[in-house]
Amino acid sequence: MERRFDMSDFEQSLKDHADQFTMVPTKRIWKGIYNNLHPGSRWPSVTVAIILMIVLITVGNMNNSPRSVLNSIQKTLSSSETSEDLTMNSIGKVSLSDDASSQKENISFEDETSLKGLSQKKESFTQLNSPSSLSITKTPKNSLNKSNTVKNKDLKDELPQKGMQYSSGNGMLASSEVYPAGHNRSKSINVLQQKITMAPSITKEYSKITFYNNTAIELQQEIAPMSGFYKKYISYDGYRKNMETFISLPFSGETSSITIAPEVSAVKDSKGNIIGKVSVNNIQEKVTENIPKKATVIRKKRNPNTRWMYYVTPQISSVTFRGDQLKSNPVSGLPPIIVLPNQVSGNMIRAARIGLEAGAQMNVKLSKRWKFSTGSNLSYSGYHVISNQVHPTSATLVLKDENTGLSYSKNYVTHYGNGYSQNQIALNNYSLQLSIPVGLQYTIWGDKNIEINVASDIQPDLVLKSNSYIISSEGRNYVQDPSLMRKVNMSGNFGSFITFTSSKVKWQIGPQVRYQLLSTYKDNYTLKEHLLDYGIKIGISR
Amino acid sequence: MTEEMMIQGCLDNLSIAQEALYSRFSPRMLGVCYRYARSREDAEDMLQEGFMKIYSQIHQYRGMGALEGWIRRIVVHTCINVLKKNKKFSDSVDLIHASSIQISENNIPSMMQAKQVVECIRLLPIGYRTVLNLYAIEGFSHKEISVILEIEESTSRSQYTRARALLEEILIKKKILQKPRENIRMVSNK
Repeated sequence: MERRFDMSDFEQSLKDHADQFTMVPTKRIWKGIYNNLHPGSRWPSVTVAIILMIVLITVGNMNNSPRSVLNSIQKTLSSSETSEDLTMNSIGKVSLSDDASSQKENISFEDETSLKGLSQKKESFTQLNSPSSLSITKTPKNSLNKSNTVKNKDLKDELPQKGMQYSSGNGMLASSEVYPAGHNRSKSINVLQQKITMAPSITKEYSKITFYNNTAIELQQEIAPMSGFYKKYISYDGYRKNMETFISLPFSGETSSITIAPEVSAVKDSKGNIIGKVSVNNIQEKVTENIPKKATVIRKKRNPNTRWMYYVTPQISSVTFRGDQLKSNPVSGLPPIIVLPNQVSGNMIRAARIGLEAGAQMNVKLSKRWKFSTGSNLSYSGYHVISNQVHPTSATLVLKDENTGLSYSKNYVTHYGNGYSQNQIALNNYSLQLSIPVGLQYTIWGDKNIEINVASDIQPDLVLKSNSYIISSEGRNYVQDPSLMRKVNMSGNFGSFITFTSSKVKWQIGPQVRYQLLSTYKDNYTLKEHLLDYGIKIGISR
Repeated sequence: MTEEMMIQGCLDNLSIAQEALYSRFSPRMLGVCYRYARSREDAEDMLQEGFMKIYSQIHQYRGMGALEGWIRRIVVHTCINVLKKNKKFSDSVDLIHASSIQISENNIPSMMQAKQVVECIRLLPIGYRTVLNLYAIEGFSHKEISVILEIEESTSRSQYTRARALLEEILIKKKILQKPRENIRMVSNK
């Protein structure tokens, strides 16, 4: 040969030169490696943000739950029992009178306010807009005088700073705010019943008293300067137009144990002396009407008919095949023949995989037994195809033209097939889908604490990511063709679960089956692949 | 940091040790990847994948032989796997057509000699190049190459012969190789 040379020298020289060759890698490579090696530090900010959100949601839910509010109120009450301080920034000119016979609201306010039984106490009375204390005690209506008055002038000189309480005789505390009538009465009554148990919290939250009365309108101008007080109500649209008719007795937040009971009838000092009366014949009705509005404000944050549930479903993912696959006949060149599905799938060795589904679900109660459910769902499912790494070979898919119905073939080069090889490999066919399930739940049996339900929904799916090795028409090789994959799919979900309440949390646990209704592939690939997932759904809600 | 410390650190998943190992060997390993890859970007991807394997399999290193040799084997196998996966190897392994490739003077870059040689190797079709790299530089036998690339041993031999001839032609055109009467020897800057 013309170019004969010493091979070992050539190779050694080539090796020496090649080994000397170095390149400086970019920083991107190390960052990629580092992120893969230490995934925990990859998204520290995202992790912290997620944790923070979860904590905020949890704390928010806990704080808004009636039980926790009640607890906090009970604490407040117990602490307030030891303290008689109730400061009053301003009381205006007040006269509280009882007029049982008139059957009419009759909280009146007068320029000259007198406090009976307090005149002995000369020290520590406050002026308007300065802290002062009131003790208002409910006494039975029948025992009240009809014309006791509380005069602000006297109050200024005589009211002690401590010792005034405003309480309800039968222990049923009501809102410290009294709103105009005109609300739905039947609804109000229901809420009032709840209100009775919740009332203490309201006294804490609303550290002021608001009277509504026609007679108070004329005194509005005197109380109006307390503009800060009204801010509290601005958010309540329903009352905005009535704001002018409120007359307020705001108290500071620290000493906030002021309530108005339905039968409030007297104002007493700390020693129990009656210093004024509240005689409002209609007050029971009025409170009944108004408290619900207050309670409604609190309950707005939680609709009892709607409940959110967060769930995760570990699942075993598998697949089923339907339909026929077009098969080419390379020898005769005849039109494609149909092979039975089991023949095709029989050539494919599959292995199930672990999948996962997670999401949030909103359940809306439709009736005693039926619930409507929707939400969002993220699902990862797939399976393994056991294949062999083979020498690169050509594979053919026979596809069907959707418009003409005619078949055509498409060729691929692949390394994977069912041929003989020492390198067995598991091909990963998977699908990551985002879906919006819409369905119904039916309660088969249950009581307050435990229920047995069945549920079914359909899920329009958006395929976020997928990978699929398709068996070739010869049934020997596996090829990839992303253009054959559907981007939008539809799944059906059916399951039964048991619901039980544990402390403050409601659990749902039960088996479910998820079936992909449409094929993974587009219609021009005639073999239909449907993912099938079996899982245990674990849900939690408050 | 000594090799023992780096290995132990990598076993303990310490990022400092991992980075030290990477800093020490990545330039040379990138050079290895570059000989197999079509582009620098492909080579960097190969390097990243190779180092991921190194870190995950470092417990298998028993201290038998040089650490660099062990790392190099993993990187080379990674390169081959990437080529197989991307079908780049299989698409261009047909030597019959590759022999007709025309090499012009303009195709050969003028650089320092080590890089010149590597760039000349990279001018070969990827099928030739892979066999040449494995046989002449990495020291695999044709039998081993046939297993790695899933080809016949005879194919590996013929590929190498043709690859060497083509490389020789390129090197002569670039005047890296002199053509004596009987032997062609590579010119060295040393």
